[in-house]
Amino acid sequence: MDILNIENCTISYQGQKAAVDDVSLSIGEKEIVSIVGESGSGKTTLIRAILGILPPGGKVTDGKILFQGKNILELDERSLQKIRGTEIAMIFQDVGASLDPIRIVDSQYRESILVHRKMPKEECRGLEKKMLTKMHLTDPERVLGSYPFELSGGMKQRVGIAMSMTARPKLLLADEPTSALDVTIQAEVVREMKKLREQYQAAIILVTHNMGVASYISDKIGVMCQGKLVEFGKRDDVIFHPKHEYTRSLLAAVPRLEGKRFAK
Amino acid sequence: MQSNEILLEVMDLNKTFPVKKEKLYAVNHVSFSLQKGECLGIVGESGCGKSTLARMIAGITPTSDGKVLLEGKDYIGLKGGEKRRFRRNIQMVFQDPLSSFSPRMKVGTYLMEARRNFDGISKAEGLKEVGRLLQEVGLPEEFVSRYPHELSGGQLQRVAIARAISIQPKLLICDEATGALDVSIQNQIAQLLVKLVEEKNIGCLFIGHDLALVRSVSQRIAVMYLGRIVELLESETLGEKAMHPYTKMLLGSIFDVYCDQNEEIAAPKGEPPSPLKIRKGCAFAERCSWCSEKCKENVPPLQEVEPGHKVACFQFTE
Repeated sequence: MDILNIENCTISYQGQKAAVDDVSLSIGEKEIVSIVGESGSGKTTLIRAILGILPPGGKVTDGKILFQGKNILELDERSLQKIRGTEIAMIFQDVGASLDPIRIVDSQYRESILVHRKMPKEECRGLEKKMLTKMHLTDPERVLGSYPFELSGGMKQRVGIAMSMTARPKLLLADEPTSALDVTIQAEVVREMKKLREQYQAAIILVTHNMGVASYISDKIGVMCQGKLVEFGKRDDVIFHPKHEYTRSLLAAVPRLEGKRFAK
Repeated sequence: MQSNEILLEVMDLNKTFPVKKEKLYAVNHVSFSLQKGECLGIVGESGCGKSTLARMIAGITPTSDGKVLLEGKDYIGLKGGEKRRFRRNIQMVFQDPLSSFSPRMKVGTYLMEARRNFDGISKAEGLKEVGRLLQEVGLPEEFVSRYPHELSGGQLQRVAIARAISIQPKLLICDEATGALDVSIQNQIAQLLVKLVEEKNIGCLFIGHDLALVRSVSQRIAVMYLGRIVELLESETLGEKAMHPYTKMLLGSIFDVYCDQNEEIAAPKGEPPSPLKIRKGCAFAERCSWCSEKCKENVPPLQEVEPGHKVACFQFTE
């Protein structure tokens, strides 16, 4: 069964041309789907709409977003709030910016757990440690006692993933989660994300501009261009037999190690 | 094409920053040379000192120790007018084009500023010049009267490059010049840079974190780790001939578009240590699977293992 169905979705920002134009796609349980495209193609707008967190002025003007058969767009803020963080979670490009700089990780992690359920402090800390260990953070005690600035970018990103997976969401939305990281750290985070599916039975939608990452991690890939989903299909089909001209040009533009060199 | 004239020589360059009572080694005994018409790529992860190195060579950041020669002239210690006049020889292009523009200055004014400053040309002459420059970087002439916010990232980067070459520098330094751009635009800018370097026979330092992209624009690549060059080799052979364990780790972390999904990604061990806590011996020792006792005690020197290929690792230089 599909966990998420987006049907003919159109999103625009106050009177401007549609940022997302008549997009339909579906994501099955435990599926990893990547949305790729260049900046301004509407990929971030699309996944923000799923959580109902479009930037001011943004509105879904047409279509449906069905999560487990229920249209999210018809839910009021309170019911949405119940879904956010428990059923659908999100991680952002710069987790560091979404953490409070003047509170230690433990305190804000606990807050994010207690929003959803009651739990004694001790148990809370145990859960936090368990989650951080699962993300291969070697010294969870130290991480919990640290301020965000004391952690490296890769560590913060793993804290962010751990926090978002704590409530065992069925769907994880990831907006460029590795783009701000160095290549070696990126490799680690991508590896952790791939494991999430087995560990938590979660489906993942990954928004990225890195074709290599999308190609490695996804079951399906969607390609967006100027608000339109120009291609959507199985990873092998999109990568090896792209149908749309734009997908072909995008694939050809990715620099490769054994690829063409411009310099003589 | 490359000639065999040496343009830039960097000799034992160091940069330390005082942090509280400690010393941070940002750039540590770096030496290399660059020929006219050559593009040298510098890669490494954030904090490895590649930008500090570039800024020292450009004369923006003072050096702590060591020498930099451009056409045999040590310019680091220059002062006053002489320093100001020398500046035109080295120009930089930065990562974020929008933040290096004044938002209220038109493209035309921006482009002629350098010429008017160094050559004292008139506005009318400048305007003629600007048209030619825009053409050279593949932009329409009517951009003269545009404001920066009206241009896309790729177009702005072209303007930034046009300004850099407007005063005929001998060395062009690009610090992550394509980092903020989409892949298709990235390639266009890379091609433009290669074309300009070739045509004008200038030297180019191209700093980046995308190994594949840097390889595509440069003749040689220097890999930096914690302030040191650990490997220097010809770009063409990066994939096959890389030897240093760190270079291999970087190469292993790249996701190829046509990769095999079931292949495990090589697990990089740990994270780079803080540059404040550099221990004696090889900086990469604790993350290296080859590491021997000697590595923990001594710093491996950058030594030639074959013509045009230098490695700083005891594994190969013994």
